[in-house]
Amino acid sequence: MSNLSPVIEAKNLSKAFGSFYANENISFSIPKGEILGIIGENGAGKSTLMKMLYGQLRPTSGQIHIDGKETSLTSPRDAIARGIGMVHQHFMLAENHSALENIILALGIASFRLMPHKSVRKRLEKLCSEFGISVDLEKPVGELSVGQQQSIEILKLLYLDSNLLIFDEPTAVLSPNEIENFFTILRGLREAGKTIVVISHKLKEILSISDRVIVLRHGKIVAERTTKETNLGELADLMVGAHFERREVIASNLSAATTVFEVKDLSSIESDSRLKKISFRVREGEILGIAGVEGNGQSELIRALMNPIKYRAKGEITFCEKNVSAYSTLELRSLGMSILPENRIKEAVILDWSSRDNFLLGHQNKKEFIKNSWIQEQALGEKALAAYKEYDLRPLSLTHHLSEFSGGNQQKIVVARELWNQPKFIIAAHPTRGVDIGAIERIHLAIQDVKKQKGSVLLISSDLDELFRLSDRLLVICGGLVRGSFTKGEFSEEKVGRLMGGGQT
Amino acid sequence: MKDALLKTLAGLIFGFLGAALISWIVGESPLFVMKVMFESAFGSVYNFGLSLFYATPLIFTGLSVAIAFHAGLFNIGAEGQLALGALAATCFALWFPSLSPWLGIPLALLFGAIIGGFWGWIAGWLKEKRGSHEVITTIMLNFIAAAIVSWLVTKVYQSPIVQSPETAEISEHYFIQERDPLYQIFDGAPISIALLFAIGLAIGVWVLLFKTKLGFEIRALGKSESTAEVSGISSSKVRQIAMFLAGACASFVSFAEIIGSAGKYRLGFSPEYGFMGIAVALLARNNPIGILFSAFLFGALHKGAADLDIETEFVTRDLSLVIQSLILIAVAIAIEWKKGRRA
Ligand SMILES: Nc1ncnc2c1ncn2[C@@H]1O[C@H](COP(=O)(O)OP(=O)(O)OP(=O)(O)O)[C@@H](O)[C@H]1O
Ligand SMILES: [Mg+2]
Repeated sequence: MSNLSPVIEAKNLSKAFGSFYANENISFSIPKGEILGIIGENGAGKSTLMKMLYGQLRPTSGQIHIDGKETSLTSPRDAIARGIGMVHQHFMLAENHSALENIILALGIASFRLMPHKSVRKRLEKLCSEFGISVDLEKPVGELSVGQQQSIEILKLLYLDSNLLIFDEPTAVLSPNEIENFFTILRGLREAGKTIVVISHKLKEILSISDRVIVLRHGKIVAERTTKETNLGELADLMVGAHFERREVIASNLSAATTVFEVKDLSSIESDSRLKKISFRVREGEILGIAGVEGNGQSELIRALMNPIKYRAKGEITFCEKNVSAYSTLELRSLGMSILPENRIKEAVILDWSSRDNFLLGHQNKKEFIKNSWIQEQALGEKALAAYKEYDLRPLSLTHHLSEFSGGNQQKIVVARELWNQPKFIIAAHPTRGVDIGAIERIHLAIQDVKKQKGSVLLISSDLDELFRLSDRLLVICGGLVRGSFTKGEFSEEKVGRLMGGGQT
Repeated sequence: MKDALLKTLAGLIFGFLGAALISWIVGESPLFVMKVMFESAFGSVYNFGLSLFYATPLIFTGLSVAIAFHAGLFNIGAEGQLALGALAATCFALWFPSLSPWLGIPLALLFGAIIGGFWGWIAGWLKEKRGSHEVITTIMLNFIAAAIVSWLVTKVYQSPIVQSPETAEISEHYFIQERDPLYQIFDGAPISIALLFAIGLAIGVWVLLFKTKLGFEIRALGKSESTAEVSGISSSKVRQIAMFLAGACASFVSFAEIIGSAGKYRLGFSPEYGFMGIAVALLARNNPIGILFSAFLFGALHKGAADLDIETEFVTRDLSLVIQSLILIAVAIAIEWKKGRRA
């Protein structure tokens, strides 16, 4: 494959933000029909590099050659016109509109001709069958699963005749099944002669899907491997720049522990009833995992638990021996609850605030930070800095706006804040989504620390590895029902997977 | 900050170049027009005082709009809030004519703030209860306020000694113009200590927004309602408080216009200060301190352009408005200018 001429070639690309170089002298080329994997720690510069190829950021220096010709991309419109498409770390779809409308919207960028729905749909349907994509073109995008939303993003690129498709952490939000599906689509695209770049923190996936891997560290390419000739251990070491090892996790001994958080017969009030009589209890010092394919009630469950007064559900919620079924988030947080919500951009941070101000969110009623309603800026700065240091935030800055941090570092900020000062109970949804292997270790350790301090954790994740590693007990939900329950030692990918898919044990 | 000042300056230069061009086209000497404008706004202590006088109400309405903006709300209702609030303050003065100024004035302002604040709060409350958009409700509330005020002024508090729709004069315990230090300094321009109050209020609002818990909650709500909610901030409570504060700020126009200069409530005394407040706040990017400057720019331009009609041959009143707006637009463009921004 590599004897084909390169589709795109980067020559000494650099990108500086102020005096800081996010990318430095990066050169590589991608031949037609290749799937290139890009890995690297949080903040290594992966997204920055891709945004330059997509015309979203302008290189500080260096050139981009497309089909052998030097090209200057000044906007995504330019890139699209030259056959380059990108799916971002966070999808960019209008949630109230259907897939069809979203794609027509995107076409507006590429051309100003009026497009009759009919002909667009025809072509989309053809593309769907050609590449084995199945998606409902009529439903509002917000009602579709993330996997389907991603299919729409792909369709968008295919409709625009993209030859180079860039995916920034495409699998972070997908369930294992959806990932398989996605990879099948990617392989089909490669067969059809498309060139693909995939960024991921999941090395296993990179090994299974890519032809070649580039490793970035501190803005530079530190290694390049043919996928067949490398392995997981080597890639991990290359990424971190040192030998990397995972630690063992110890289950807690819980026989006598008291119940901290309990849910009895929680059901949605609406007729579509996304939650059906869910019951469970979380004991002191316990991590209860919840496994399930996304869209099976997890979002509704989290909402009902973190803001019962607003998202009323039938049933009873008990926290610290109080009936909290009609409590507000504020009251729950005052009792010692902490929340890592599913969608960190929408629900956990304010992008154009500094990392320091973001630390105060959720802690604005604590006397460490607020005295007589005055913000204690000094204390806030010190505590935030200490917490961020513990998670190796890069850059370790209190003044950078959140939007200036890489995706994984934004996640670290939220985790550092929500785990600050040992919460009694934390709802942790996808705590390691988008972070690198080093940060996963750190966050997993921190979650276990909660447990050591007799705190309790409700862990919702689509990553089975994570659930198996951390949970003391595991519930599987499907269609809003608890389908099964396992204790540590009984976890098996096969059994859990079957229940997740709606089957029986 | 320095950046903003430079940009403002650049905007002013371009704006005045445009104004010069217009003057030249209509056959007026550009230099003469500039001279008239400058002298009219700054030419004497009295003229300068008038510029400040025009700026003062705009500080109050600008702050009103800005507070709501920080909470993610578009307050189109400052006009109604200031009308009701100002009438309330006037009524208070009429009800208790013999209170000492040290007690009466603060109480009158406070009463006005409560009524103006209440009027603002209604929009916040309706958003909470019915989900009604505040742009619609505040516009409607403007109409209702105008009707209430005109009924009260003409039917209840109409001054018996004049024909025009206005209330009786407030007692000299409230109307302290003769003793007002600023009035004396500025050679009898209708400026009053209301200006100092406005400056203090702007600083106070800045402190509130950026240094206190309530301000933090207001700004969080304005930036992302979903994040605020997950952080345990009650969007409903904060929204209602913000709208109350917005209405209260608008009501203080009464200090400048009634207690400070007119001494009575004249129906229609406000040349749409409430709406100009939107422009004032936007130009300052909703920064309370910036509002002091943008209100002053509006005031000085207003004063400067006002005399063009009389002093020049061809620049009519309408054209002077065009010139005024042109300069403001130039400043607005300059302030939002970013290097290398593309379409
Ligand atoms: N707009 C910006 N202003 C300043 N610095 C920025 C900006 N965007 C990114 N950076 C910095 O550039 C570096 C690289 O960021 P980038 O988003 O490319 O990382 P990444 O490799 O994609 O990481 P992740 O795996 O966490 O998504 C980071 O240190 C980040 O803080
Ligand atoms: Mg990234």
